[in-house]
Amino acid sequence: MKKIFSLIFVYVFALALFSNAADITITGKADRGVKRSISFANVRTDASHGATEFLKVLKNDLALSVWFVETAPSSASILISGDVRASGNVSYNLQASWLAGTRSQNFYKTASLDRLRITAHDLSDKFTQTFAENPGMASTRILFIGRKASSKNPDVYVCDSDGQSVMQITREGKICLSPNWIPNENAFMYTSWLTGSPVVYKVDLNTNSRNAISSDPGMNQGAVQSPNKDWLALVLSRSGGVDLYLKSTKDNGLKRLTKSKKCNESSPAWSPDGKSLAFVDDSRGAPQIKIMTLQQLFAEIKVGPAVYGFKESVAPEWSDDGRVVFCGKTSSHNQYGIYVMKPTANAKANSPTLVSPIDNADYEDPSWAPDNRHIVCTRILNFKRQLVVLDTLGDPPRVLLNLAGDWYLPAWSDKINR
Amino acid sequence: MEMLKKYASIVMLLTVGAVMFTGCGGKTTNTGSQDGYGDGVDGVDPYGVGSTNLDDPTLVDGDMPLADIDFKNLNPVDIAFTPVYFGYNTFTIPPAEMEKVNALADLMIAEQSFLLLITGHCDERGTVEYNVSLGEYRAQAIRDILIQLGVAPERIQTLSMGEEMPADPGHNEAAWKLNRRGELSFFTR
Repeated sequence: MKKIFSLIFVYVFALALFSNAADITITGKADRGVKRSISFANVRTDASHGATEFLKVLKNDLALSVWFVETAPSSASILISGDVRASGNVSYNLQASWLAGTRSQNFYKTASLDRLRITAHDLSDKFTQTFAENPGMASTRILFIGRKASSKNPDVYVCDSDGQSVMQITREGKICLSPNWIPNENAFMYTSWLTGSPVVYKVDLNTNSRNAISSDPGMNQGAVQSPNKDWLALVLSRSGGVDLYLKSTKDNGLKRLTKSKKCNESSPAWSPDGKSLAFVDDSRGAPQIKIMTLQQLFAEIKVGPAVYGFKESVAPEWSDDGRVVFCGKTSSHNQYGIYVMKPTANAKANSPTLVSPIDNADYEDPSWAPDNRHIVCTRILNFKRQLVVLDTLGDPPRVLLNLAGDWYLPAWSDKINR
Repeated sequence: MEMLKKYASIVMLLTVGAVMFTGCGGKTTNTGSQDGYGDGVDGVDPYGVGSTNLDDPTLVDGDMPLADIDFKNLNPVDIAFTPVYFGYNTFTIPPAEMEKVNALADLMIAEQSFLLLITGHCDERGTVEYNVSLGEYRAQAIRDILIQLGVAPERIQTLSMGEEMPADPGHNEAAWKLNRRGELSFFTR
């Protein structure tokens, strides 16, 4: 017994010695991330509404990143001091001190008042990168399809990653689906029935312009641009079957990737190196994710979710660090849940992990945040759809929007310039 | 017009039976290719295998490319042809619906000026994007049989609405059965 107590004492002592004393490890889930304690008690403002709003947005962003928890100065591992002003312009001149005062850094910027929220988001991401050594997500935005309670048809919307600044992008009075960001651009592609049949359009949010980029006979859907921007992967039915194609962004040339007369392809997703595509087909009856390497067309890597006994697996998306998120049903869980797996040649080492709650809801349409930690998805309960953000390290889900209506098919941007 | 009325009556009768007998719960395994990859198996570049259409290199043997018909500039024909209904999560036309498709083929062959738009729909279960593809395949399944029965491919266009335009907005089996359908619209130039 004494030996056990001695071991526990040594373990606790070692923890105290080697961890940052003021950081807080949230217990209850073993792999949940360590939270950095941060204090803003020594930040002064000019008492303007804008300065108060700036700090509110910043603190909320840090809380949503789930890498930080705000505490009193006496228990904080990161002390922020300095000034925030918002008269005429918004400006901050802040000093950060951490590691018991052994490290410090200044943060300062001036921007126009109409960029107050953007400036606060940007500072939050700088804090996350500096203190948590992880990419932030506050400066990113989320596209989604929405149908307001009063609307018959869905439209494309966008909001900040904190669920604020919701903007309606399209007003077509027609069906539209599948919004997907174009990498590193303030632009996206989506499918619209604007002309009566599904056509893929590109929308530039800087110029508010829209161009048709695939309007073949039949279906044009699910377009996603490759990381190097040379290709679109999309689903077309021009041949008389539903197949995956690549379309060159340089000369519009088409390459057909599948020729499956009797099965249905959908939802292509690029790997971060642009060398593989995950997609869904139902050649064996139920829809399942497959992964295709593009150097060797038609070759299937045998490490899809079906290997693990999923009854269905759909809606794949790759993270920047090579993990695939998807929604699936298993024999023991007959509602769609969100799973994460790392596709490699060794199937047994990478079994999918469930990251959505087990409740009476279906969770669909997952999309990674650029911090490679959070996922936005659609939660469907009693046929009502809402957007929720999941934390793959175990913090509780949060509802993204508190608006009446149906909200679904989210797509999280990378860090975009605006 | 007499002929049209006759077809409409046949279709109405067939539809009642079909809705009664169409499966709605279990999944149906799609028939056809084993792996869904046609000829291009074993990692072989498909462009080096088999015959290639020089006008459009993306087309391969057995394809029946879609027509490009602009229905907005055509004249709709006022025929209420009852939809073809499907089972859950499948684009295989149920045997009980086949007589309806046969009657449709007879109509298209008899009325050579008709152009046909087949619109595929799904029930609300499953993901939105998958259902768009499934709706397209349902429309194409009807198209394939019409072509086999002698209707010229250039007279048929397909369209998918996925799950977005339910015939019945309910959230139950009875509504879903009506929503898994291929709707038929006729036009003349």
